[in-house]
Amino acid sequence: MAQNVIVETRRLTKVYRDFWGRQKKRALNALDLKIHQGEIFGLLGPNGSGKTTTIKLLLGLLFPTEGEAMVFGEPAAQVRKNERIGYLPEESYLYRFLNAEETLDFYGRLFNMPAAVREQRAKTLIEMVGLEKDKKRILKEYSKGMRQRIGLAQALINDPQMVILDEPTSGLDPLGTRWMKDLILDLRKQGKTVLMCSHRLDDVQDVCDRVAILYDGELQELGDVDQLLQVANRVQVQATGLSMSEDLRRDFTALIERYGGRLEVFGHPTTTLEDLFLNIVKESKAHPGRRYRPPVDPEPAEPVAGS
Amino acid sequence: MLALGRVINDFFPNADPMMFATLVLERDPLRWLDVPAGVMKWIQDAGGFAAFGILMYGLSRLLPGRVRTPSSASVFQRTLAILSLVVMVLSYGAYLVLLAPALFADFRSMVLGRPSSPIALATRFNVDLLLTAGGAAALVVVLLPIFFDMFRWRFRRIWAIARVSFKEAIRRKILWVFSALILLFMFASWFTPYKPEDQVRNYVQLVFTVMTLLLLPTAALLAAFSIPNDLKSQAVHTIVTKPVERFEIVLGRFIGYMMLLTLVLAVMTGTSLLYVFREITEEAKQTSMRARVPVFGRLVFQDDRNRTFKGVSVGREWEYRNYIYGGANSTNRAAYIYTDLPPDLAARPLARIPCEFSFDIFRTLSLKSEQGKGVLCSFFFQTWQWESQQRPAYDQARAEALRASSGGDARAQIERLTQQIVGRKPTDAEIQAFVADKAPDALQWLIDDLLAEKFGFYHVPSKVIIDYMTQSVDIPSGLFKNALAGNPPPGPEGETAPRFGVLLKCDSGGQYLGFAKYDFYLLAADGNFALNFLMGAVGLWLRLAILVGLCLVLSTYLSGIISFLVGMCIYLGGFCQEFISDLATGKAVGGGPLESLVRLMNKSSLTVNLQESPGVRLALSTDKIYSWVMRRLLNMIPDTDRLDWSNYVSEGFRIGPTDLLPINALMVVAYLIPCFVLGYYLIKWREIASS
Repeated sequence: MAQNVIVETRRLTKVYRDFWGRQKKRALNALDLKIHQGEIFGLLGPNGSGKTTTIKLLLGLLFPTEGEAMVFGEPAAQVRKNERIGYLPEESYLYRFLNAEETLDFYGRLFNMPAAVREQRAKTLIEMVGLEKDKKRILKEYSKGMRQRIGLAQALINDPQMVILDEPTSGLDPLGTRWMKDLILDLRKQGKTVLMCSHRLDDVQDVCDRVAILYDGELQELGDVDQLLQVANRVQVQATGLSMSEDLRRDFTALIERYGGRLEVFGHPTTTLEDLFLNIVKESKAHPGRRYRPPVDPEPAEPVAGS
Repeated sequence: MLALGRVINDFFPNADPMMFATLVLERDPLRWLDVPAGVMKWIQDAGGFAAFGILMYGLSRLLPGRVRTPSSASVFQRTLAILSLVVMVLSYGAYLVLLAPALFADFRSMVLGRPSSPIALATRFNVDLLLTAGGAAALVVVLLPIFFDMFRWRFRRIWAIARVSFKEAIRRKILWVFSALILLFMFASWFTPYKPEDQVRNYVQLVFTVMTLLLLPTAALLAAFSIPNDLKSQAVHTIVTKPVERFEIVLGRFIGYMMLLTLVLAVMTGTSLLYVFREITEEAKQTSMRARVPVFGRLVFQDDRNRTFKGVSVGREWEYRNYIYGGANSTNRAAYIYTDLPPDLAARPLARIPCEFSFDIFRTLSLKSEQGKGVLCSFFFQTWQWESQQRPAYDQARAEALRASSGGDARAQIERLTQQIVGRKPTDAEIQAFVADKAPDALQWLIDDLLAEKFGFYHVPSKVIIDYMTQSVDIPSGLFKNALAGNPPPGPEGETAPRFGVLLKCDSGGQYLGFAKYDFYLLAADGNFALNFLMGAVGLWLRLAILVGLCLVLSTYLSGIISFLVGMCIYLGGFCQEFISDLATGKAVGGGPLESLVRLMNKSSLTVNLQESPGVRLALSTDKIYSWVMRRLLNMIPDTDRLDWSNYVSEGFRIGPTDLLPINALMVVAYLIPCFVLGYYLIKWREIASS
């Protein structure tokens, strides 16, 4: 991972005030944060913890009360930084009277792209988000998932170096969630930096390299996901091609005790509901009309994080 | 000839075909001459607002915990801004210092009741110059960031936003509003008075009124709700996180809506024009569908015994016209004088230049014998070279020419007469014009033209004037040859002396004739009515531009409905501008609000001088401050009244494409610039995401 700092905040503070300048709420307090190139960074926290405020400050939608927010080495209020940023708002509030093609054309124009480039980008992105069939329908007729897809397409129209995603999986079905997560991982593969905020912890755990956990405007925890979640005093072993038996258990117990440990769990691992659901969908697609049967030799689902 | 015209012609066999067209202009239209002074005033006023804004900004920076606004100024830009700021502070500071003694004296006189002795520390000129310098510097400070931002504006982005605004309006089916126009076309003729004399006026006024009523509120609604809606739906979040300069949004919206409204206006104007053409009878078309190019003069009144004679007021409430008393012994005269004349008037060989007029009659004598009779008016057209002692010579030359004119063919006649009267050979064009002139009085006209060229005089005795009618007399183009030859010596104070004028005298004893500045004009040419109709629509377009700009700018800070209401209020304030301006300049009879209150309490009449007392002095001084504030408010109100050109169209006067149109367009730009500057800062400093 390169150590280029893309986003840096120094004692970033935001206080909301009413018209008379009286303090209403301290939404963010002295946040220090660095996001490096090529990582997927997650902002976590309950509602009202300052995740969205942070993102809006970084985008220049809000101005800081104190401290600094630097993006690509420039103050976040600079318009220029937007050339290299893609932003997917929590709900894709796009113009509902435009269709998908017109929407992407419009945002392409905002990047001052010439017509040929706009057309080409729009075509690629519509394909990528799987909206070819619906590209002539106006957005008013789109479902939530479709809107999230076109929203993502508009965020990527400029092939940005950094993508900011506000609750990217909210309102998506498991298929859409999985698609979104794969896409986020794909963005990292392309060398892009991703900043996302979410309160769906499983999603964050699946994709993020590093997370910051906010509570009530204060930074509570910051670090690598793997390190934060690693349970250092436990060892996990998984194997295939075995069947459960008392002998096996006994041998394992002996082996572990020989090393001074103690066996805690012995049995079949459970898969996640997400994996089960995705398998069912996959199976049903492959064999239409047949009821889903669990595989005889349950393989662990392919790991999402690709590690 | 029109029906009523026929009736009148039965009474007055010598009268002309009748028209009712009268251009009533209570305010002088803007001229190019007014532009430099206007620009100066604009710099002072707009600069004053800018300075106020800077002051407010500075104060707000002092408050703790205010939102820090983004700035991207380079060192160069900062230096420039600071320099201008210094100039501004110095200029306004010097202004205040110079003015302070006078203010202090005013204050002292207010408190102590002693009359203030005028202190001549500050000459008017210096003070004005300081105000202009301060205003200009303040404008530079305010405009600098915009100027440097401008390099980052991209047409493609602005155009994208304009296109989206356009599409939005169309896909939301807003244009259906305008189908109301169809109703007008279907049923309006049921309710429109069918008198040929009034047809053009009625129909033109009708379609313009309906277009205005349909377009203005729609434009205001479109503009006022667009940005607030984007903010509410958060659609703006995905836009400002693109490399879009915030002001590009306002500009794009403005262009988009103006495109849409232009299109709608064009279609409406086209159909309205067809409608007007279809509904108007052939008779009315011929007499009223015109686009006259008038040349107006300056109106002065004279009286032998009273040097400051400004005409008689006959006690009418509408003080548009002033009157002269008629009769053989009356020395009252009215005169329209011209310092400038279009040179092409002199270039037309032997032409009859029509002078049109519509004077008002005020009768004090209504004997049986006088009823149904017109009032007589004599016209004396004269140039700067004419002197009244020449009259006998003129009469003699005329008599000789008439005697000598008989015999020979036309060519010989014109050659002989031209030689005899002006001592030159006629030009080919003159010969052709004379040969082609088959009118029975052609010969007499030739003589009058030549005499006018020589003496600079022409006379129309005892013309019958009819109330509310536009009448016409022809004058020979020779007059203008005489008027434009050489240069008149300047007046006693170095002012340009008039070249040409017409002296008017009322011949009917006991009656008054009333004149206003725009009651008389030389008809220089006739333009195209349809084209003029389009020009009238351009006036409406300019008003739309003001309203859209205003509402858009307000909506960068206020919510949709509030922007709409405030925008409409400011816009409609333009209609009461005259009243507000009277209040602001202290012309209103009875004084400002406090003075009026004092009058109410004391039950004193509006015109009586108030008795000196501390209370009254306080009231008067407060009214002064009040009127100062009102003057500032007045600056914020667009002068939309000036942009209503429908009366030009309906009365058949051309809307000058080289004066009226560009000057007023300039005025609109002058109004919109400060407006947009305000919008620039409001949207730039707005925290888009804070609810």
